[in-house]
Amino acid sequence: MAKFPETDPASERKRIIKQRNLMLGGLLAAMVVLFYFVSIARIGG
Amino acid sequence: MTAASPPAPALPTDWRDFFALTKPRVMSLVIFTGLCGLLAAPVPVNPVLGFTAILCIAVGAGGSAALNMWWEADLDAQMKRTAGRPLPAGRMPRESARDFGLVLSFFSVLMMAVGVGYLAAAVLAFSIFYYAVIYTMWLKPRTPQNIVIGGGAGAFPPMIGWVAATGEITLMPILLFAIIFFWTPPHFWALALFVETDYAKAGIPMMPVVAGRHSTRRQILVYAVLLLPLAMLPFWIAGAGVVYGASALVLSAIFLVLALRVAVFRQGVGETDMGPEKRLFAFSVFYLFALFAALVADRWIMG
Repeated sequence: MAKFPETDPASERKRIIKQRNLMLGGLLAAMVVLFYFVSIARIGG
Repeated sequence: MTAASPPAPALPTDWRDFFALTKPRVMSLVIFTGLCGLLAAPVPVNPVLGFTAILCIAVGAGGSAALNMWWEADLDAQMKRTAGRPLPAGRMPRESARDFGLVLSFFSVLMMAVGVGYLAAAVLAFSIFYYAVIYTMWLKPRTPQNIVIGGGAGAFPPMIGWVAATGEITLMPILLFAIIFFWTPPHFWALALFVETDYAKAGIPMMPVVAGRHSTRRQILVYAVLLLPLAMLPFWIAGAGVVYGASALVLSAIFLVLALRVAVFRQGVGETDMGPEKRLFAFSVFYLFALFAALVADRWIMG
């Protein structure tokens, strides 16, 4: 049976936090874009 | 909620667990019915504002789902279907779920108010309060009518969609609300009949646990009978055209036949055979999707 290397908790923690930060950053950027277009739509409408 | 909490997780919570808190599968139905309410409204909608309204409905639903999971973590741990959720599985501190739910709820209402309109935001805020507080915290653990009351929470999205488009509450959005409200009990009780043991174990007073299978089946039939004329009402009051009317008639008739099979005509079906209940549950999901799709198709085809 093949042996898999154990995941290092510190690197796993880093990976999870990095992914979370990326998701949060992406969401905030999407919010800025959305508010921009909502403002345009409200002014135009 | 009780004082006992699962052990604090060793690793930070993965973003996928936060996403799971929003009940994505339920959210897909919420987005669909909300979108149908928006598209069926008899006014043109700016695409950006329409998208914002649907996003707010989805985020609000996600926030209230997270609050629901925060409150019910102990109950979820006792049921096989829900034991793998982030909180009962110990992958997330309880407070994180609460804070996540509050933040999502707050921002969804704020964004709806600023971007779309105050009335739509008010209905959205009430729907979140209704699901998270009135249903989850207050009535679900106390009454076997919990599903009837909970149906109100799921019935809000098309109403919010309609109000976001038109800026007013008229008879049509109230009818859309009522259709989902009356659809929910037969849908969930059919499910509760074949997962009865799980609910009983968690001590939730589901109708089959409290009133028994016979009474539950009879009540499923009552709601299915009421649903037929209710689903036809948008056509009868000229709020929808013949495409919707014909679809509603056929779909509701099939729903009624399946409910009759559950409640009355069980000859040749053993008490432990849940085939009719499973068929009714599966069709009930299709019913709602098809009925609301017909409403939108009617509006866009017939004008």
